[in-house]
Amino acid sequence: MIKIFANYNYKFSFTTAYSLLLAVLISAGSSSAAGMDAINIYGYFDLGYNITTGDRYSKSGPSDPNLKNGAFDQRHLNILTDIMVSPNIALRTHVEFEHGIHPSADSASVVMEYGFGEYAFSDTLKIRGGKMLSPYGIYSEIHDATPAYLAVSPPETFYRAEFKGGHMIAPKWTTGLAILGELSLFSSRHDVEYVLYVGNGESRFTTNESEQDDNPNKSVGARLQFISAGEVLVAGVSGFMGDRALSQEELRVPHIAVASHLSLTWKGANLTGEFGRSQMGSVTEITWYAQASVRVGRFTPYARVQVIDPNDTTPDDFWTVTLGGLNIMVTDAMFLKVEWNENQRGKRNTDIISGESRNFGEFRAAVTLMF
Amino acid sequence: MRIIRALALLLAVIIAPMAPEQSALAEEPQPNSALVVIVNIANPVKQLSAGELEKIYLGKRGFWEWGKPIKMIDLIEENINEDKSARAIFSVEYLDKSLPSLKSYWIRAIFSGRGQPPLVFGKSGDVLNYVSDNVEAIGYIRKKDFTPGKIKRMEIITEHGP
Repeated sequence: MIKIFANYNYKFSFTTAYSLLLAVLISAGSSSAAGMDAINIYGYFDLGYNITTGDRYSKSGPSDPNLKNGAFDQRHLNILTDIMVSPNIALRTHVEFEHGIHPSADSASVVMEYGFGEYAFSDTLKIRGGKMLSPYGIYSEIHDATPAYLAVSPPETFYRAEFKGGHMIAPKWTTGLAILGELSLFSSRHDVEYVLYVGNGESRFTTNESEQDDNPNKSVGARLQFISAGEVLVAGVSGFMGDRALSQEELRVPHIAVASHLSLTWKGANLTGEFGRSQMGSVTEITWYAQASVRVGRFTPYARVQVIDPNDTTPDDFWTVTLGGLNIMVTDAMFLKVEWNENQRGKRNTDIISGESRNFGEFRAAVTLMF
Repeated sequence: MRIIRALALLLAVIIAPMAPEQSALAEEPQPNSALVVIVNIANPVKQLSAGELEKIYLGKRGFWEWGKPIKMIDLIEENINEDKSARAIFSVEYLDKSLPSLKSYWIRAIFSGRGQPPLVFGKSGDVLNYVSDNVEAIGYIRKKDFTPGKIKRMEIITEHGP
């Protein structure tokens, strides 16, 4: 047992600690400050498969056998807890076990996606403190929660620009304080949502930069969005400003990002788009996407085009993805997604590995369960 | 060319089969609804606008004006086809959403840390009991199941009146 503990040192302690926390909360019952009816546990699990056409290399090189036969991926096993500590205080946590966490899997990880406390003075004023997914655009707070979006992944040129030859348009996480709330417009059914936050800034000297104790960089961000009655129209703007440490010589590179989003929903049809511009030092990145979908019973076909220009002064470094897919709600708690992605890349996109095709197709499928 | 094809695909997807859900949705809560909204008799609120009720049931209004947090209840009626259940009727008439849309809404809300959906009960009697025992609660039941006592009917003000 001791040997096992030693081998699984970090993962065991984290997993065990979280399990113990859950056990304590569940067993606490009525003697706890938060009774059982105040504790809710949610989660999701998904299994994915993808295979590419053309010469698409992995970092391990063109001989990687996975590239020929595709790859399964037990992508997420995530557990969320939502605890009403008192009528005004909520504690919300989200822990992710990603890519079949195991010591031999270098890309696997256990991550606390968020863990924050929230005090509600009223519906119009709440204060939140802790580690949170940065409020930015439509999908940043949904992040990896596959049941909450139609496609296999959120728009990657926008939300995963760092994997598309660009830089992260805004940090995924922040640790700090936020004020947020909803205001009714003219006492009508329309709302305005706001959130304003200040937190640790970006640093590249740790894998957990938002929580780095000695991170001297700080950042501020905000999002304002209008939500019409019935969510027919959602329109908003987001902003982020901070410093990013790129190297020991460049500890405070200014990072300023702005974005706008628009979502139109009419009956079962939806059209959503976002546009973002992020300036990191002298590099300006532009990215946008547009997605359309129509719900027909439990079937929702969707199509999306997404584009990134990682550096507006570098010609031919773009990455464009056009995709079409189908989301099937098999049951209320199970989704099946299949889609085809067409990728086109400019020859100067920095994500291209020497020798591989600039353009390629990719079949993706996923089964998602939620609980 | 690929971009043009993609845009054409986008247009086709958005325009093509829009019809299926149209007839199911109403623009405003129906004065002749088969449902009644109920609260505890001790709740000082006598009426709500349709907009206020919608915000309560979408988790956007968490507190009564008298200070207590709101506990909202859904009636799913397990023995009835889901599309004809009280929750489906309530969703269309009062929240302007089809049931699948409402479910999607709560999935997004839960997984982005924005709150919790209503408590769910399977029978009108369970809703009546819960609302009778909790002054902060609000629920809905079928009109035929309404029996005054420790509960009262909440008047919902629409464009058409109460």
